Amino acid sequence: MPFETEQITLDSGIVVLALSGTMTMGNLLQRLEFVVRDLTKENQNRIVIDMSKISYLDSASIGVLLNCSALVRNAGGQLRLAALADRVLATLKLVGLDGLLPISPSREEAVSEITPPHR
Amino acid sequence: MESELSSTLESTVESVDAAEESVRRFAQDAGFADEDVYFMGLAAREILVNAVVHGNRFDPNKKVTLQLSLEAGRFTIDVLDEGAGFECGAVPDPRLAENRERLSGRGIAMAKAIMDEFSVEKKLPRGTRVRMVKRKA
Repeated sequence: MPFETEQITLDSGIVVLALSGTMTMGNLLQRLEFVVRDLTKENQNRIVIDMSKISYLDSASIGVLLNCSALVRNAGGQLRLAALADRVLATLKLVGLDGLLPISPSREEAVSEITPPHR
Repeated sequence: MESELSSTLESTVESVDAAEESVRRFAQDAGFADEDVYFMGLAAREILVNAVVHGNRFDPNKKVTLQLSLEAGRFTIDVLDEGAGFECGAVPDPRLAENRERLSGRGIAMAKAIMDEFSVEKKLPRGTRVRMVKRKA
């Protein structure tokens, strides 16, 4: 199944990136990192990545998610993953990386857990 | 039930998709549980990608060989490349705190965590064979 990204900007300014398909090396994966990089350049650095429609991911994808997280963190923002399927979460746990990426059970909870920007 | 399957892959990431699918089918036919089939496919993908990217370095003149066998409830996956080889001990373990954000070694660590046995053998004059075994519960 091809990897796709849908971008939704909420009234709060939080950007939701809703992913679907399979996340594997060479499967348009790098595009996600470019999207996140562009968002941080535009100071849109409060981001939720909704993984509810991702059925499979490999180690290259985990690398891209870690890079996205670092990009946002370095820009002073917040990034949360949301709604991971059991097997996707189990894949992250295989190499103990689930603790490195903030994860929420649902998109709504991830959005509520992102704090407002400092004024 | 005993069975074997051998296939030769081009050194491309695209060729890994079909090879991974053949591992899943083989494991399914061998009677492994769905959960095991899913993760054994992932382990195979990681080592196949490693062979294409780090072993053969996408060289179109080099091939990757995938061999599957089932014997006495042991499912063996052999992945052979024609590259310069690598020392498994030299690959950083991403489960260690100091390596968690490093890019290399994650795929091998995943495969090791999924499979019951994992070994790396350097071939002469060149190439590496990674052997992974999963035992049926």
